[in-house]
Amino acid sequence: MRKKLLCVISLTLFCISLPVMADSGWDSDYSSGGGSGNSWSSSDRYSGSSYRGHDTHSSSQKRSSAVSDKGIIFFFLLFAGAGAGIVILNILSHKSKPSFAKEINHTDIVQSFFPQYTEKDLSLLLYQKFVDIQKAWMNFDYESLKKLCSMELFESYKADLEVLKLKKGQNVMDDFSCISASIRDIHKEQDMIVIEMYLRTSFYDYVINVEDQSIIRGTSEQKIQNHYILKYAISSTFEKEACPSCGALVSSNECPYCHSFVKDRMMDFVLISKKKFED
Amino acid sequence: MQLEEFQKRDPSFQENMFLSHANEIIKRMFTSISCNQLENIQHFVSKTVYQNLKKEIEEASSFFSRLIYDEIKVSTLIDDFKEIDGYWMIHVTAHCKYLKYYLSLRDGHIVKGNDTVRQDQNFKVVFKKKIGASSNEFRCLGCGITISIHEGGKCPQCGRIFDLELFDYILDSIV
Repeated sequence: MRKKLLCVISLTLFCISLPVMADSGWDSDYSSGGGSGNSWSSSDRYSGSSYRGHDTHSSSQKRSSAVSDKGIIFFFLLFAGAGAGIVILNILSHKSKPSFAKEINHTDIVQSFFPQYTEKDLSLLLYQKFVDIQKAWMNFDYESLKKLCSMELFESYKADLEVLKLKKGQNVMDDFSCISASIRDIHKEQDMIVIEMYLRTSFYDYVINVEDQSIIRGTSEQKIQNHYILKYAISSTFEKEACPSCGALVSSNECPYCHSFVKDRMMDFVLISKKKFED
Repeated sequence: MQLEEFQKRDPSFQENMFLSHANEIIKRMFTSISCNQLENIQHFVSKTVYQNLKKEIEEASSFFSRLIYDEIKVSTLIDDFKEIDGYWMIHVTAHCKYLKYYLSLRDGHIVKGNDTVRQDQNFKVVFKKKIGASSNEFRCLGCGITISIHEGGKCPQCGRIFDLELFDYILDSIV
């Protein structure tokens, strides 16, 4: 109760001191999300966004002009400093924050599987993979898609791209922004490590006719914003395996000697599934 | 025959893995028609099914078009298990949603069908596998190397089409 009273008093004092700092505050940081719309996915239709939106952040800062009465400035700054100090001390000494205390420490879980990554590192790495997949899709780059996706997903994407090619279309995706990315779960499945990730991202997404470059679906005027649950997998072991045909010890999936298929190992993170949610 | 009884008779059977395999084969069947690449699924289907798929492609080609199955979604449910003449036969109902239309090979325009409204169709599909077949390793009967069936059924070494029936379930019929 005493702590609460102390908080209120110090906050009040702090607020009183604010007018001096008002002109030195920030203009509003703003970001407005993009519109809803379908971008490409393994199970959804590719089409562009439907309404205007921007993905920019801007801020500006203004400094206050000098105040003539030095005594008043000193008085207010003193109170502001004292108030801020008390508030900070209260926050630091606060014993428990129930919501934080109950949060799973994702970095601990990430590092138990991948000691070289923090959660942020891994999230950014997997986000970049997502962008690479989108770009490979855009460019009909089957070789890259094959490396970045599981075999089943690749075959599905390849078929979709073949149909798009027949329609003389190209899905343009550009200017990706990662709004939010976090690791939701990591676990072992047989000899794979499966990582589930939440991603919120925005980008331009539209389909053009490759012959006359006209836009046949979507718009190039505004970004769309999508939420995804992505699942990646990577082999949990990279030991050499004996080729079932000639017996050579190999580390790749295909035997370089007799060209037999050895094992379907994922040597790097590959996308195995993607679920999209719309705003 | 029910699932529990079937699992006693074939302990290697796993329902989730089978349904995933079934969904993949059915989806690939549609996409191979769209891409005119039947060799990619020849090992997954019986000779009769393969010939019927070939006829569909040829019919579309006769008026310079390609039959397209687009935005395909497949889900399957097992109806029954049977043992017939040394084969396990699994009857499933496949619920399929797709866009079906014919695309002109000349100008890429749609000549028949609808590319905006999905069709909703249930198929009765039968999968079969030789009793005692093992799906641990897929080995070409021509040259003996092991192959990955997911990349197509053609042996990269000798070109022989893999006989999946001896190792795993294939799509025997679809109506």
